[in-house]
Amino acid sequence: MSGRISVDDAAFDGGARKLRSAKSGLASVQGQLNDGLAAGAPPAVSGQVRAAVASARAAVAGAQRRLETRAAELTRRAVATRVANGEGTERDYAAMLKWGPTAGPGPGRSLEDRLRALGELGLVVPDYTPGGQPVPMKDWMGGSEKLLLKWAEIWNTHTFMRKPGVKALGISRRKAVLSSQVNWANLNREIKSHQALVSKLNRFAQPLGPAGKVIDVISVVSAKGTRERTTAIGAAGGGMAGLAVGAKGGAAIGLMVGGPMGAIIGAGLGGAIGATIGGALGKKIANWKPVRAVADTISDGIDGGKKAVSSATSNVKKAWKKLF
Amino acid sequence: MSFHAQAMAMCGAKPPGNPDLMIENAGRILSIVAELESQASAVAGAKVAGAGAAVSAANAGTASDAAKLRSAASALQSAGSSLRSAAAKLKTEQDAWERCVKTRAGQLEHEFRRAQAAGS
Repeated sequence: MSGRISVDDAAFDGGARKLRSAKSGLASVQGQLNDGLAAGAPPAVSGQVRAAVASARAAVAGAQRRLETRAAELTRRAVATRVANGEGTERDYAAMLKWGPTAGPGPGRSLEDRLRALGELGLVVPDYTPGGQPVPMKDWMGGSEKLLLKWAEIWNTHTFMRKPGVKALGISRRKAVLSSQVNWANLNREIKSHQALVSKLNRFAQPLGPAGKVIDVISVVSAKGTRERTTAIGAAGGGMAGLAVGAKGGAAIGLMVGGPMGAIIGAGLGGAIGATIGGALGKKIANWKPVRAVADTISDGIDGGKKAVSSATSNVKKAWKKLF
Repeated sequence: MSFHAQAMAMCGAKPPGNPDLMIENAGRILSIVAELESQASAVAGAKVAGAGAAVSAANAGTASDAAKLRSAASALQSAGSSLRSAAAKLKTEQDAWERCVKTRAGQLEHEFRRAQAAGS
C-alpha cells in the first residue's frame, strides 16, 4: 500500500530488544559493585576504591536507565508505526493506552485525541514529502490544532473537492471509530483507508504544487471553503431536483388546467418555483451540520438530482411530443 | 610483660589493614572490570539498524553510554590496581613488623637468659 509508513518497525523492535538485553547484562555488574570491596584496606586506599565503585555504580545505573528509556521509545515507535499502518495488534493498542491519557487511539477517545496522540508519538510519514524524507506527523499536519481538527473532519467525513486543476474526488463516507466499544479490526481498516485517502489526496493535489501536498489539499477544503462549496453544491443540487420536480408537476397541472399551452406555462412556472424552493432547501440542507459533514451524500444528491432532471426533462419532452 | 609484648612496644604499632582481604577484593574488582568492559562492548554493539532521526539518536546515546561504562571500568581498574599494590606494600610492611617483633623478642629473651646465667 502506497500510504504505508515505510519505517522499519521490525528494526525498532529488534533495537529495543538489543538495548534491553544490554541493560540486563549490566545488572550482574551492578550486583557485584558494593562497599565491601573496600574492606580490609587502609583509609586512603579504601577511599579511592569506594569512590571508583560509587562512580561505576552510577555509570551502570545511568546506562541501564537510559537504555531502558531508549528501548521504550523504540518500542513506542514500533507500536505507533504498526498502528499507523493499520497493522496494530490488540496488544499494541493496549500498550498505547497505557502510555497516557492522550497517548493512544483507545475507547472513549475522540478521533482528534487519537490523531493528536499519533502526532505526539512522533509518527513519521515519509511517503508524503517530495524528497521522501520522514516528517513527524504533527509537522506534516501543520502542527496546528485547527489543521489537526480539520484533518479529523476530513478523515471523519467525505472529501469532496472542486477546484481548477483538481478533480472532484468522491470517496464513500468513512466511519471513523468513535464509539466507546472500539473494534480494533475496524480501527485498523479505518487507518488503512485513511492512508489510502491521503495517497489519493496527494495524487489529486499534485497540480497544487510540489511541496506540502497534503497540507495544500487540506487548505483547499478549509472550513470556509468547505461551507461555501457545500452550500453551492447543495443549492445547485436542490435547485436541479426542484426544477425537475416542479417542471414535471407544473406541466401536469398546467395540462389539466389549460391544455397544451397550460402545460408549457405550468412546466416553466413549476420549474422556476421548484428550482427556487429546491435551491433554498438544498442550501438549508447543505448548511445543516450533519449533512455538511457528509459531503458525499450531497455528491450523491447531485448525481440523483442530475438523474431526476434528466428524467424530468425526458418526461417533459415526452409530454410535448404527446401534446404536439 | 612478655618478651613478645615488649618487642611489639619497641617495634611500634602494626601497620593497619588486611592485605589478604585487600588482595582478594582487588581480584574481585579486576574481575568486575573485565565483566564491565565486556558489557560496555555489548552496549556498544546494541546499535539499532535502520535510518532516521530516532535510530541515529538511539545509536548516539548507546555509544555515549558505552564510553561512560568504559570510563567507569577504567577508574575501577585503577582502584583495583591501587588496592593490589597497596596490599603488597602493606604486606611487606606488616612482614617487616612481624620480623622486627620476632627479632626483638628473640634478642630480649637471649639477653634475659644471659643475665640469668650470669646471676646464678
